[in-house]
Amino acid sequence: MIQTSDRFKEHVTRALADDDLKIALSRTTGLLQARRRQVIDEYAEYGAARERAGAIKDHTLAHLDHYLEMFETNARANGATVHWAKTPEAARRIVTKICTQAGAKTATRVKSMLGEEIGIAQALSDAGVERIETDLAEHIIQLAQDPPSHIVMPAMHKTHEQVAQLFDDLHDIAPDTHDIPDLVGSARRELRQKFLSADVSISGANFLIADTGATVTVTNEGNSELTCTPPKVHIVTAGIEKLVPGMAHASVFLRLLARAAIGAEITQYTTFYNGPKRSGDADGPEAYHIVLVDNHRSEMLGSDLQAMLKCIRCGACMNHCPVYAAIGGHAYGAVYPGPMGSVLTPALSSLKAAKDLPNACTLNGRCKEVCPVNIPLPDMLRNLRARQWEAKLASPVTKLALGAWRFVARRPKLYHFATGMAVFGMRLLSLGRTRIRRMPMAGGWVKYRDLPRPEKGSFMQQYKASKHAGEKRP
Amino acid sequence: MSDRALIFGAIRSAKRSPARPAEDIAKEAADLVAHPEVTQPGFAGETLLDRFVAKATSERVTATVDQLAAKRDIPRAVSEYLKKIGQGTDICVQNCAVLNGLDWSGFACSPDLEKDRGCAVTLAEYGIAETGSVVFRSGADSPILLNFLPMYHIVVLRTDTLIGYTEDLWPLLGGAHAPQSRLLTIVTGTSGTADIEAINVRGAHGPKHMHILIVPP
Ligand code: SF4
Repeated sequence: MIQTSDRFKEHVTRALADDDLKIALSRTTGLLQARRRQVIDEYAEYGAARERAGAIKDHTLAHLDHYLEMFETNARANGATVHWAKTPEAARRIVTKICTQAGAKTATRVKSMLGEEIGIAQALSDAGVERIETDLAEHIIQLAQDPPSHIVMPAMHKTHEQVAQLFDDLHDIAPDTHDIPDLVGSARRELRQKFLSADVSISGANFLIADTGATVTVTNEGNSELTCTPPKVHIVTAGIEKLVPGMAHASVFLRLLARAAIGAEITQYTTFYNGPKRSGDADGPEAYHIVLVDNHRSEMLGSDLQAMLKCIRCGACMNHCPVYAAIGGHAYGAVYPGPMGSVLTPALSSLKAAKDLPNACTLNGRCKEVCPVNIPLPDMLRNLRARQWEAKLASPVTKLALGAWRFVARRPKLYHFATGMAVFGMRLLSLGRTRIRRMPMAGGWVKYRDLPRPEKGSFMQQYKASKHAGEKRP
Repeated sequence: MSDRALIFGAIRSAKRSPARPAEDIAKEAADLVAHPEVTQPGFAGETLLDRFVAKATSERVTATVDQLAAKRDIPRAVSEYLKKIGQGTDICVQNCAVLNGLDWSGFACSPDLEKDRGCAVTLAEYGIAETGSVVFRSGADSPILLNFLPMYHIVVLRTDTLIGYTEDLWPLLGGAHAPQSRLLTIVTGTSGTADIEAINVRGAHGPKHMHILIVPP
């Protein structure tokens, strides 16, 4: 997809006025949050697993060259052809070449965000290959010609009424009814034969196992195995940060990924691919290629963005982000939306092209709280803001506001007076209700949402009052 | 310079710590998973079989389970299941030693699975109690698509192949350097999707129903 993060503000205005989007987001985010909450509550060992997963990723990143070499050796021994791509263009060239050499006409694809990142659709069209998306959400957005709006549920921005309309118009046989199960059935009917007759399959990898050379996919639909078994060539594209040392390490992540992403203890299909068809095998591809992609990851290593390489793409941070819940994924104008995208997009493109993203954050901290590998997203967003300030990329309004804030903040008496006045003013504006509907100078914010009425007194006033009360206790 | 050299060059120049001997790295990696019980969901007090059945038949997994007294009861149990769900006698039985040795007379073994009809009977290599999952590997007597094409998936699972956790599975596969089958899949229930409005629907592309026949060794 073409990155349009530089038009973030324009996108936001459009997103906030889109009633279908509002309905789609309100139908989904609450459900996803509740399901995650439940399985995490049931998992008493969650804290230990989360801590362990972070440690495994730190270890792997500290020895990334070692593990990449190990993975390459083992994957080759399994019969894989391993390719390396520094840039998305290089990755596309490799994929195009494999397809051309195989004389491919059609390719079935399993959703992968790395595939989106490198522009797989472009690579296939360069090779003159028809692309068939098999993941239901990807199938929907392929028909709608939309980019993905979420990393786990790329069609989250669509209501079922909109999906029904698409299937009515574009499926060979229209769905029996517009109920969700019949819509799913219609996609099943439409795609079944295409699974079986494609020339090439393309998947991503949720994990790469260094000591066995396996690539791993997790899906609920089973579309990965159906996609990657019948065609004669299977291509895997994966980021170099997907490595874990061994199978036992992968076990730790599988528990966390399913819980954080979809609120399940495990996804329906967890599959390890070890190469092409073995001699005598009843089915499977004859050739198996793995394309390992860098695309700025090696630059993040050792920088203050290194923690982002621990991300397992579960989507929990976006499901719990109030900004994402209000504007959806498209507004971010990049492959990766939401909090993780606001950190990653500047790293994959440039701070300038993505300058509004680190500011699209209330710093409420929910994203870090729900992140299964404990990535300090709010701190990283704050750092990016500081870097923008240094690079003089901040907008004039932000500069003016921050300048004024700095003036006041350096004068404690004036600061406490000003914040106290602001709270008083905001309580006046709430007119006795608990929400604020209108606010001078913040029309853009309160036009689509209400602000909560602040507690009586500023934090410092309340803090002093409670300290005072505490002192009086015996 | 090749892309490979560029990538390794960038990684090595980014690293702040000096390179360490491979044995040290291996030891650190092993230590990280030396006590899997710390991160595994505990189910002390439940037998493997009880846990497996409870999980497999839970609302999240949605399989049905039938426990049989002997392997020879499998065809009868399959026939009863087909009757219950109102399917004919068309089934596709995996061509493997355990299932071939049974009496399948009375069944028509020719469903058109590719056309999305019918039912397949396959043998699981292992069952995982933690999550109620079954494990399949591709092979000469194990076409992987048999587990993905049918609408109804009947799985035969032997009680002696039940294990607690995925961590217990890896050593059984021969360790890191043993030759591996092309594909290993851990299947937990049936094909599902929540891609439209996060509503869970079964039978996305693969089986919509899973029935597990648990048999003695
Ligand atoms: S940053 Fe954390 S919560 Fe967000 S997608 Fe990555 S792993 Fe999941």
